[in-house]
Amino acid sequence: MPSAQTYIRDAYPDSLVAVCSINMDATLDWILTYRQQYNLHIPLLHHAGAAFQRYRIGGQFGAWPPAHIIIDKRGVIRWRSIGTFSIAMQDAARMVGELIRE
Amino acid sequence: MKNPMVINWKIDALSPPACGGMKGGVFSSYVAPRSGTMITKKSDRLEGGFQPALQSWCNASFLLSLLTLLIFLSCGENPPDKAPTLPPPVEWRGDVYLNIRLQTAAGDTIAPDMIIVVLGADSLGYKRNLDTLHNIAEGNYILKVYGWWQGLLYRASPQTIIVEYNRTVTAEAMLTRSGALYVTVQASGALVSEFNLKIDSDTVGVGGNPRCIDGVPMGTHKLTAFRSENSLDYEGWVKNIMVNAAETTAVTIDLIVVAPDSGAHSPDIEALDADGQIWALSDHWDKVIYIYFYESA
Repeated sequence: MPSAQTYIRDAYPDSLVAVCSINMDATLDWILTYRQQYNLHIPLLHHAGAAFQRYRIGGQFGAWPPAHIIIDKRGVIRWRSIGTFSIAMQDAARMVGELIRE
Repeated sequence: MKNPMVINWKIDALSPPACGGMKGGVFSSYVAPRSGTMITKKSDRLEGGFQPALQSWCNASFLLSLLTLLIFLSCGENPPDKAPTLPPPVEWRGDVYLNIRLQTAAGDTIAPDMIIVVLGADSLGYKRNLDTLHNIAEGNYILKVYGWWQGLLYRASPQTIIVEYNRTVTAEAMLTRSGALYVTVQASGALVSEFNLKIDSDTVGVGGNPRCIDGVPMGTHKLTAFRSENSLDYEGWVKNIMVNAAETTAVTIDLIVVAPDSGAHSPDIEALDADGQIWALSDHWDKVIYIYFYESA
């Protein structure tokens, strides 16, 4: 999460890129502690079980978090990967840069 | 010899006092020429001219039948095809009290002096605010109110008021700088039957297609239309829709299938962030979005 903030959120202007993290099971206290610990300023969404359902992420879908999704300017999903080390953050940042120039 | 007599009769017939008996004179004037009774003296006609006339049964029965016909006609004055005259219809009427407020562009709430009132299909023109409209026929009306303030046009969303007999209904409305949206939603070029709509972050709800949404604040908005059919989610959105005050903006939205897979339209997300604010993915659909799903445990 801190790497997403560093490589994507802080690397591109706010008007072109949005970054958010979504959690289903953490308490608000845990989220606040996490934010303070890593000095995060991206939106940290919590109790978002509906979002996990809509994106088919979770054990019941055979897709164990974490998951990374990149959406282009038209709202179309261009990248979806499941798993901890499925994508390097530098590669994700480069992909975001290409989609901005599209 | 006959000519002087004829002249005399006419004079007598037209001047009853000289005749001494009007009926006698009149009858004589008819009888004499037709019956051929010789009347040689004027005294005969005045004193005894009536007698020869009564003796003529033909003429008497003819006049009687004519009189009967006249009485008959005068009795039957209403032809059967003429509509009967009904008393004037009773109209139940009530009053409408106008209590209109106006929210200025600066955010203040004032009471405008003059407003423009459209009641049902009738534009009543300029009316004084806090005044009462009298003698409004009973019924349901759609009330539209417009107002001017410092050169700007304000309007209120149309509302239904019910006017009842002998009662005063209060029409309250807030005039704002708002307009209307006329939204048409289609999927693969065909109109869908109904759709759910979201304006910016506010859900309008499910309704028919096309649909008119009233009371949209002036400014640029983003619209999201969505619906589910055959276990498939469809969604479509348009942004930078300009809504002007007291104007209707037409918008067409194309729905496409929403799925969490690559190549499909991304499903919307709405959740609370750490500050308690709602974060919606649809608010950022004109940007490149990176989402990270994770578990804390």
